[in-house]
Amino acid sequence: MEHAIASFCDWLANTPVSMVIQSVSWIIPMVQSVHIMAVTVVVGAVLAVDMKLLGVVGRGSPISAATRRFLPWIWVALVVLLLTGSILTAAEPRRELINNVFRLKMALILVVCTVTGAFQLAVSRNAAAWGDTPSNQWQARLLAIGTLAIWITIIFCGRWIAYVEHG
Amino acid sequence: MLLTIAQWLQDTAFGQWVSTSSVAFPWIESCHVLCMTTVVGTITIVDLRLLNLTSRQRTVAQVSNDMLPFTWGAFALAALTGGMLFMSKATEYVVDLPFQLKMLTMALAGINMVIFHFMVFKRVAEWDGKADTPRAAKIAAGLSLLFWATVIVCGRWIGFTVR
Repeated sequence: MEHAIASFCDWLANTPVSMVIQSVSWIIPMVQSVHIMAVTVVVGAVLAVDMKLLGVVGRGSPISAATRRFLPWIWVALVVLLLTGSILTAAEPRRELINNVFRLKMALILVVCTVTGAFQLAVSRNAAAWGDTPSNQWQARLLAIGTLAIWITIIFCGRWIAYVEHG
Repeated sequence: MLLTIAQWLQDTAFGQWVSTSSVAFPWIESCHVLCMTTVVGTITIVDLRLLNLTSRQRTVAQVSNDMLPFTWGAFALAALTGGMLFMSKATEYVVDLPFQLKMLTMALAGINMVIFHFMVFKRVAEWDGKADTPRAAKIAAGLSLLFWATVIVCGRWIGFTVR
């Protein structure tokens, strides 16, 4: 498996697209900047929803309003992140694909997306349970603290990809 | 003068530690990214409300009261961690063009915020809750988004000029 990934990386790094990204000096910094701007959108939206779940913000307005207002932005930002992330991976495949921190980051993204999608679905099916205060406060708190912790770890992983050794 | 201060900061035990330790810089930088994205993310929410594009079911005062404490808390920590990173190679950062542009753009964002606060936001009760936000508020919000996007580009650019 590792061998196949390594061969794929070497093939990808030698494709014309990858070589263009590698040789034009402004592409990687600009794509990384767009990537970070999309991260700011996720952070703002996650913070707004999780702080509402914890009862810190949005007094007098239901949780279901906060999820309708903010969660769609997370999905739009994730599409931008996937796109820009793919460009960065195409430029330096081994730096990402043969890197344990990158793999942890991807696994955590899958987990948090699943949890967020399930939460969004649960709220849309039963908005009454997600009013100004949640019907199940402990569930809401666990969800808020859990997703915040995962997103913070994802951001830390994102920065650490650049510092750990890769294949 | 500036270079003398930079040299002194860089020569402190702390500056030396950030620059020579293999883990100090990445950990502090990760915290800086987390705080910076919180600053820009929460400001974006307020700016989009000022542009009258989103959160219209809540007033501008409600949205900014909810978000700005996070903005200020995160900004303080971003400035602190940024200062720590600066100390690692202060003499190189002060003469670095992207770093200088980043500081300049943050100053512009600050001036924009002060002008907005005293000219428009002070009278928020008069216009909040109306169908549209004042033109001056929209201009301030648009400039704010532009400045903070530039800060991000400059910040990332620094990583390619100072190594």
